[in-house]
Amino acid sequence: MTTIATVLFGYAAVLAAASPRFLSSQWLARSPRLALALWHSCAVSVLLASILATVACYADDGLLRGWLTAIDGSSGVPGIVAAAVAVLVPTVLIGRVTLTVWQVLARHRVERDRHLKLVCLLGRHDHRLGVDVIPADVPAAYCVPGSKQIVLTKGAIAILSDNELRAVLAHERAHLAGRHHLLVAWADALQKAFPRVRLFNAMQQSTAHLVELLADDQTLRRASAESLASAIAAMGCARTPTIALAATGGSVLTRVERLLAPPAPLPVATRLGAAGAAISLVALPILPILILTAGHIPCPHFFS
Amino acid sequence: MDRLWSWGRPAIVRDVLDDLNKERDLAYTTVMTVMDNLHRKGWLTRERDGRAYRYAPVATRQQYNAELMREILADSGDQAGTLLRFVETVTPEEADAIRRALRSRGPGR
Repeated sequence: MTTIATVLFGYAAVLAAASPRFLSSQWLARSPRLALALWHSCAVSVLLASILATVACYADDGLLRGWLTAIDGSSGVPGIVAAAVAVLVPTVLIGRVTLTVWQVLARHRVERDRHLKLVCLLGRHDHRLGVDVIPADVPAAYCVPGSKQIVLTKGAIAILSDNELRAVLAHERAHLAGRHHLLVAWADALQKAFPRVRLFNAMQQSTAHLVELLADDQTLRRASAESLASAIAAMGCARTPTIALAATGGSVLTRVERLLAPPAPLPVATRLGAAGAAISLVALPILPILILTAGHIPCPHFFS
Repeated sequence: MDRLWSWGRPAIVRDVLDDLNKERDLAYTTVMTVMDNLHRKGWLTRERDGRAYRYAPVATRQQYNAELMREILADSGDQAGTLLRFVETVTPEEADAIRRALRSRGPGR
């Protein structure tokens, strides 16, 4: 129905424009996992609503019949154009998302392979720590998703105490175990596919930040908050003078403050509510379509 | 690659094998396969020299080092996701604020 299509389009537009403001609120960062779930279900909801809206335009009884007559050519040129749009818009939307996701993943794989080869050529494997060490004075630590490898520079090992080192490794292992790179890649791909949508822009940045918070939280099971905080501070600050600066929006400071003075966990009711909201966000755009099809397609049981 | 870099001249498989076999026992074909793979993947160039190939690295160790460092330190959004970094670059102001926050908690190690 055209009403349903309008409602779905409106819903997608409002959600894409308004949700970043709500999702960026401070209290949500108290549970990075929930925040991630909400961001990503909002994105899926907007995508689903836009795709289903175009489908709904033509799923209307009269229009559907118009579409069928367009195929056999009896409704003339306008009918054929309408039918073409009905097929093209969802195809383009889905195709664009699929293509960029594929491109982003392929580019990441190529870059990672080349990077690993370089690490293998220039670095050496440290069996005690189970990491690769590259001979560079700049302190840096990172993991290479897909290969499960953690890489440290000599500079990083030099400035970190044993406890801090343990915290850094636990943080990187949390990234690898949680497959955080897939979330980051998906957010990256959506932003590249639709760079003008505010929700996707904000989600790309938030996802990168939230997976760090999530890994920090998981690190606390294996290392103390103090050693993780001082490791973050030592690594972050040591690099300042050497490189051109890209503002990170205070995300590193947020991480340190959060570790030193942990916010109270969210109340159970709030967490349940947010989880419910995440599920309903995905389900919501499907609902009108279900009602629509239930109204129009006769149930087989009627005939039995 | 280590040998080729430190020699600084093109070398045939036999040279590399003899040098490697001072420390361990490798078959000629093993070294040949490795070098052939490196050539196919664009890390070594080669020129025919009689019956053998003379291999040379495509770039110097320093050049690869520079490339590696660029990738590690690239904080740009475009690189995000390829590697998951422990910590991003901070501004001097942020660094000050972080140190203050740590100090206010006392020595935390």
